Amino acid sequence: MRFVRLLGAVAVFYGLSYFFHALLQILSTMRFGGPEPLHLVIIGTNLAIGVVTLINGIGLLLRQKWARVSWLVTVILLVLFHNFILLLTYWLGQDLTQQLLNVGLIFFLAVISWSKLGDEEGKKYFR
Amino acid sequence: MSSTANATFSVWKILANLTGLLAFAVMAGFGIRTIPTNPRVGWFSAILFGTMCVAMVIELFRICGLDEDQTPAIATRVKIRPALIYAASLIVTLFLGISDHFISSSFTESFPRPGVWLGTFLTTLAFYPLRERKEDFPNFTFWTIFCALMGAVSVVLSYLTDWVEQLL
Repeated sequence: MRFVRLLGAVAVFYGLSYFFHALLQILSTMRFGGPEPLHLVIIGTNLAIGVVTLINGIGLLLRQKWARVSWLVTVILLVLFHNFILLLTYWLGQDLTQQLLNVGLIFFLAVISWSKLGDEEGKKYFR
Repeated sequence: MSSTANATFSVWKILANLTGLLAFAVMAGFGIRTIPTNPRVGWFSAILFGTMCVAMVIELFRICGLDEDQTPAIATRVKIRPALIYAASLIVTLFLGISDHFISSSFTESFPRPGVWLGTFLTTLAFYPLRERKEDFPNFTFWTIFCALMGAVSVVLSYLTDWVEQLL
């Protein structure tokens, strides 16, 4: 039970950090002029990730059955998304360190989530 | 950080602690950024808010562990938990050791190696409340020494990363 709650707390923190990042980006565009279409896409993506992980995290904290499946799907999508961003950064010739760390962190989160919640045993934690 | 015998789990407590953790992490970040211009204030705020972050994490572990008696598979967790703690400590050590250059550049080249050691030491120390049964896990003194050693490993790794970068 503690594991599921801690996982929920991590997911909520992850969502909050994306919200915070998006907020800084919004403030930055407000300060330095109107946002370009690309900026809107990036801010929208960050907000979407924030909302989804926040909802999943609260679901995990409350040990809801839907949250287990939803989180397992979300974490896989996040791994794919961050890998895509890593590829994009590589193609653009930018520094890969930050994206590699992002991929590493979300990969470990995915491995831990799937190893504990991915089988029948994992269902027992939820109501 | 109230701790009462009949305390119950609450999502609101978790959310409040997580918001606090985020705020303290941001303030610790600002503290680290201030080190090059004003070392005394910078180090003071970095250590103060860093410690608050660790306190928040410990409190989160405590809240998440309330109502533990409803847990379905205690035996499985007892076997896995120490392994998870050691794995998490190793991940933190590797992460901070390898990423010190990235962290340094993020904080205007103001993250010296003592910071890497302190970061690893405090983060791994925060895993201590995770232990389920005292007999299956080292005592606090041993764990503190272990965390200090992991901090040293992290620093060695950061030197190693620099050396590899120079070679490449």
